[in-house]
Amino acid sequence: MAEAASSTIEKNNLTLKSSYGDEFVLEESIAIQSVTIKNMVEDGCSSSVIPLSKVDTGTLIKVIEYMKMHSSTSSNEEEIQNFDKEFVRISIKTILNILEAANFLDIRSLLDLCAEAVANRIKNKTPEVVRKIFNITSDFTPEEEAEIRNETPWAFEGDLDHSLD
Amino acid sequence: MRQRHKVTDLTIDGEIEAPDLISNLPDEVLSSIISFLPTNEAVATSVCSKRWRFLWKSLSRLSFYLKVDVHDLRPCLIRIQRIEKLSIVDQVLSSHIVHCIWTLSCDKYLLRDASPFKGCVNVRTLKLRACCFNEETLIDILGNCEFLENLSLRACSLDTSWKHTPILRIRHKKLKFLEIYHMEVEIFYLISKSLTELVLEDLSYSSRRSIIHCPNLRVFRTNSPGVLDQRGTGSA
Repeated sequence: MAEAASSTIEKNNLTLKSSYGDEFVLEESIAIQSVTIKNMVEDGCSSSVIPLSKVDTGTLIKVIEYMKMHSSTSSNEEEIQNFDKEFVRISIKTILNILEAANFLDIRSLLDLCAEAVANRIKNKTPEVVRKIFNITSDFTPEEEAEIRNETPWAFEGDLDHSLD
Repeated sequence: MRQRHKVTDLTIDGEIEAPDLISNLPDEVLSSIISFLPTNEAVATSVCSKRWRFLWKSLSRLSFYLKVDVHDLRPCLIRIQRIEKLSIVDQVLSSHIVHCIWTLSCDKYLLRDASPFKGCVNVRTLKLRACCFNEETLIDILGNCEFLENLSLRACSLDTSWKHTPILRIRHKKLKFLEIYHMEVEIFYLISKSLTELVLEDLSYSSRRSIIHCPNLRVFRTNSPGVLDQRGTGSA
């Protein structure tokens, strides 16, 4: 039904180019869920290829998949919810890449979806485990860290999970 | 298919380039991640590294959850009066740039006075669950949160130690949505011109002594349809 309706109107297509030079053609109506792209279109950049130098090909494919699903008129709320749930069942590294892209492209709903998914992975974990998950090296001295823990002791109370899964 | 192969290769390449997973992300993205954590855990990330030290201070959403392992809410309410965790809310809010907060939830807290809510002018959504407060405290909290639009009170109780009649008084100029679940009060005053949606489930009050004045109400949901009349005759 959606195809029948859209084929009668002339579709405006945009070409998005990933940081690796791969090009993807996408309907303008779908792509402008990204506020960044929307602004570019409004500034008259739509005729040429839009270079997304901060988004690699794999991430761009995921972002396009998300935008297509969320602009589809044929899917209901439940389908979108299930899609979102499945969408973030990927490695934390991939989610973080999408998160970075969603921030750059300014797609609020995708940013929130990924931020919540990342938060769910670090929920109930001790700061030590959070460091491991993100591969962060602490640059505090043991004294400094103890001081911070002392400032808000209640934040470190309770039974937190020491495991990595 | 060809495309898929390429993607995998590129992802592997990317992994070699990035030393840690989050160094590419701007601070506001990290903040949005930890804003989905319970506030105590968000605050605990401050020890991860210097970059994380003050991230939680710009959170726009705070949710305080007192970790008490209880299945029934009633013993919990008795318990919170002993534990008095208000100091936590107080400490976080005072060290937080309070005008940044948009959503605030407190779970199982004894709110003795409204001082932690000073300056919370931008709070749009306030959720109190299993909290205990008195009539005046709630009035003061609502007074501080002057742009509040959504208020949710779930399984809260009124502290009546200073006054015999449990009165729930809600008066607000901006409030649009109010839900109250599982509360027992004697008198319920609700005066709000802006309120458009009201949900009352398992709220008991004497309708003879109560006033609900919401001229612009569009949606009203309650589990007992005749709540007003029923309660009225019951207490008469």
